[in-house]
Amino acid sequence: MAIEYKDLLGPNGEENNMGGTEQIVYLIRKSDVKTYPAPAAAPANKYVMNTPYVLNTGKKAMQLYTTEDMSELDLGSNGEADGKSFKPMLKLFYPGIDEDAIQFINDVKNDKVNMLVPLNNGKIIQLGSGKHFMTVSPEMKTGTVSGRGLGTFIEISGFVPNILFYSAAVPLTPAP
Amino acid sequence: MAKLSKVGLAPPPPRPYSIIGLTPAATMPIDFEGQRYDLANLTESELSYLLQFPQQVPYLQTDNVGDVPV
Repeated sequence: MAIEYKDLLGPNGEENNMGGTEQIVYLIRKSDVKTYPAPAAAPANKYVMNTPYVLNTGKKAMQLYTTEDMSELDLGSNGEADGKSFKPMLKLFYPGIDEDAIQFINDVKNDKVNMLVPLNNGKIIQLGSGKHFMTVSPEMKTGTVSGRGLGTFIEISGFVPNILFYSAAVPLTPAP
Repeated sequence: MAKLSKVGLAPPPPRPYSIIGLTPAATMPIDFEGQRYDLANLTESELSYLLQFPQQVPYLQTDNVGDVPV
């Protein structure tokens, strides 16, 4: 498909450009995926995924909460001239610590995942695909008495060739 | 255990549509376009809206799909 840039004419006053992310993001384990999202058959934009993740029996997308104003997504440029790609970095904070949280922290540290990150303008960024995966680096901290408080700083990163929008349903119900 | 089995086997209430590709349950959440939908308990307007996106939300089937404006 030949490259053809569309005019980028800036805001018309109706946009919502609130920063950060929504307070629930979604994690999908590589080993849970049967088929990955794909763009439409003849897409107007090949970077918009139009079909949902199809997961293995009993699997669903995991919901991961983040404290407000403690989440951010950077889709930084990666590589040198003629070899550019992107290095996503999603930062979250999960407050407190309990049995479920510590199980997640321990089990996810060497897992491979995709992430669906809802922005505050209604769009969802897809991090990863069937060929590129994200890794999760959780860092639990007590902090100080007068500081942020007990919880886990979570960094999710990887390398991807393109930035993707996800415009399909997020399966929060287990697959049959 | 017997109690759980009874709950798990309870038949879903009759609906004007069927759900495929997800495990039947009393609540069947998905997120789509920034909204949470319970596929097991859709309102008429929610059903009508979601049926407009058969690729993005491929879980719903109804005999009246052709009647839904696209």
